[in-house]
Amino acid sequence: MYQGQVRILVAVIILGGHFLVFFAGLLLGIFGPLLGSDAVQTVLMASPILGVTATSALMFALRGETEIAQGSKVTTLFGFVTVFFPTALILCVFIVFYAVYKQVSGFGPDQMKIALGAIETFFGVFLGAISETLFGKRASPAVTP
Amino acid sequence: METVKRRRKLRIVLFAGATMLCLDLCPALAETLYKFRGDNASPYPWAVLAITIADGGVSGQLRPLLGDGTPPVAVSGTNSTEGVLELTMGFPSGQKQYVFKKSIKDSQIEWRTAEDKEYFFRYFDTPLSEPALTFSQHECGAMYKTLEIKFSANATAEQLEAFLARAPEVSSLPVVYSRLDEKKQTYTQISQSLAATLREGFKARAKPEPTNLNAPVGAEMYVVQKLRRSGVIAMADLDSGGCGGADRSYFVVDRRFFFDSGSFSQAKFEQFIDERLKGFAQTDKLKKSWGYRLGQRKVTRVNVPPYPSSYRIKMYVASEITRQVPGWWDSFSASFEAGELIDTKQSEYAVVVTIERLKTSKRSWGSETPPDDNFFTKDLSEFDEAEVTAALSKYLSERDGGRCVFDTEGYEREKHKSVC
Repeated sequence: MYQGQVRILVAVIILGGHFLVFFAGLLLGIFGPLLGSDAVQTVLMASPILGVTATSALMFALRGETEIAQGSKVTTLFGFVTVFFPTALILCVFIVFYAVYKQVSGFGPDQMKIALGAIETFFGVFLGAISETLFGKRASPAVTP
Repeated sequence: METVKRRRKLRIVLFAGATMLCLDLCPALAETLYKFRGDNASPYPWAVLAITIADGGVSGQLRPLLGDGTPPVAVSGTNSTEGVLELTMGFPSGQKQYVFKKSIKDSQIEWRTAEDKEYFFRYFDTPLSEPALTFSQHECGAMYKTLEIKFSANATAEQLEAFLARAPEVSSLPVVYSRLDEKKQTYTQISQSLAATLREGFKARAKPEPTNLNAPVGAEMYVVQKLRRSGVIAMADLDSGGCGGADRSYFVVDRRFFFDSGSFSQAKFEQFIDERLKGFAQTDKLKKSWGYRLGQRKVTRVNVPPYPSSYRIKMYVASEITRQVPGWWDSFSASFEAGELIDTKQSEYAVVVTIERLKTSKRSWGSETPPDDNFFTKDLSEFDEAEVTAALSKYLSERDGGRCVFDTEGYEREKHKSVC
C-alpha cells in the first residue's frame, strides 16, 4: 500500500465517519430515547476528535484538486494503525449509540456521555498523531499541484 | 335428671319466643343513626343523631362522635307531617328547637333546617359506617390519613406518658409529622412514631395551630378513638384543612374483593392489586398492547386494628396508558392503602391511590419494553402525577363495578384526560 492510498482511505473513513456520527446522533434524538438537549450534547461530545481530524482530512482533500501523489510504499503496520484507530473510534461511538438506541440496561444518557468522553480521550492521542502524520504540513509536498 | 331436661327445653322455647317477638317488634323500635352537622355539646362540628320515629313522635339522643366522652343530649319531637321533623334538643345550655325538611340527594336522605345551618343525613341503602360515626366531614379537608390534634389545656406530661404506656400499639405506630420551622414558616415532613409526635405536639400545645400528622390509611379511626379516650386530648379528628389539589384520590369496590370470612384478607388484597395492575399496564384505551414492567412489591401491615395493609410498587408503563400522551415510558411509585373511609358504605371498601416520583423517558424505536431507571431522566409535574393517579383509580374502580374519587381542585379540570 502506498502513502497516497492510505491518506485517501483514512480521509474517506474520517470524513464519512464524522458525517455518519453527526447524522446518527441526530437520529438518536428523533427515533431514539434522547431528548433534544441530550441529542445535541451527544453530537457535541462525539465530534471533537473526529471533527479536528476530519478538518485536517478535508484540508488534505481540498488541496488535492488535480491529483494526489502516490508516494512511497508504507509498511503493513503503518497501514493497519492508520486505518484501525479512526475505524475503531467510529465503531466504538456507534456501539455506544446502538446500546442507547436499544436501551440496554445500565446505559442511559448519562452513562452514554461518560462512555463517549472516555472514547474521545482514549482515541484523541492516537488520532492526533495519525492526523499529523497523514494530513500534516509535512504531508503537503506529497500533493502534486 | 328429668327436671334438668325440662328446664333446658323451657329455656330453648323461651329464647325462640323472645327472638320471634323481637324480630317482629324490634325494627319498629330500632333507632336510626344519622350524621348531624350543627351545634352540639361536643368539641366537634359533627355528632350522631340516634332517633326513633314512630306514630308521629320522635325520640332519641344526639350523641358525640365515637370515642368522644361528651354526654349525649336528649332529643324529642314530632313527625306530624310527611317530610317534616320538629326536634327539640336538650343541651346543657338550654333547649333548642329546630324544624327540618326532608330531601333526597343521590343516595342520601337529608333533613335540613330552613337556614341550612343544621342538617343531618343517612344513606337510604346502608347504615353509616364506623368511620362515618367517628370523624367529622369537611367540605375540603382530609377524608383519610391527615389528622389534627389539640391537647387539653389541663393535660400533664405524666398523663400523656401514662397513656402512651397504656397503648403501646398506638405509641409505636409510624406516622408522618408536619414540623413547623418557626423562622422559615414552612412545614417539614418527619417520619417518626406517634409517641414522639405526641410528645413534640404536647410541648407546643400553647400554640394556636393544632398538631398535624399523617397516620396510615385505615388506622385513623382506631387512633382517633384511642386519643379521644386518652384524657389528654381536647380534640382529635380528620384535618379540617383547606381546599387544595388532589387531596383525595381513592377507589371503592365491593368488600368481597378484599374480605374472606368477614375479615380483611391481606392475601386477597395483594392478589387483587397484582392482577389489576397487570391489566392496567398492558393495554391502552384503544386496546393496543404495550410492554410494561412491575418492580418488586412491598406489602406492609399496620399493627393496629383493623390491621390494614398497604401495597407499594414501582411501575414502568407506556404513557399512552398513564397520561394518554404518545411516545414515552413513565416510571412511578404507586402505593395502595386499603381502609374504610367516611363515605364508604358497609358493603364497600376503599383503596387510597398515591402516585409519587413520576419520571419519564422518551420511547426509542429500538426497544419495545420500558428501559431501566438510567433512562428516566425527566421529572414530571404534580399535574402529571394527578393524571396518572386518576387513570389508575378509574381503571381499578371501573373494572369491578366500583367508583373512584379524585379531587381535581387546583388543577385545570378541562385538561384532565382521566376524570373519576
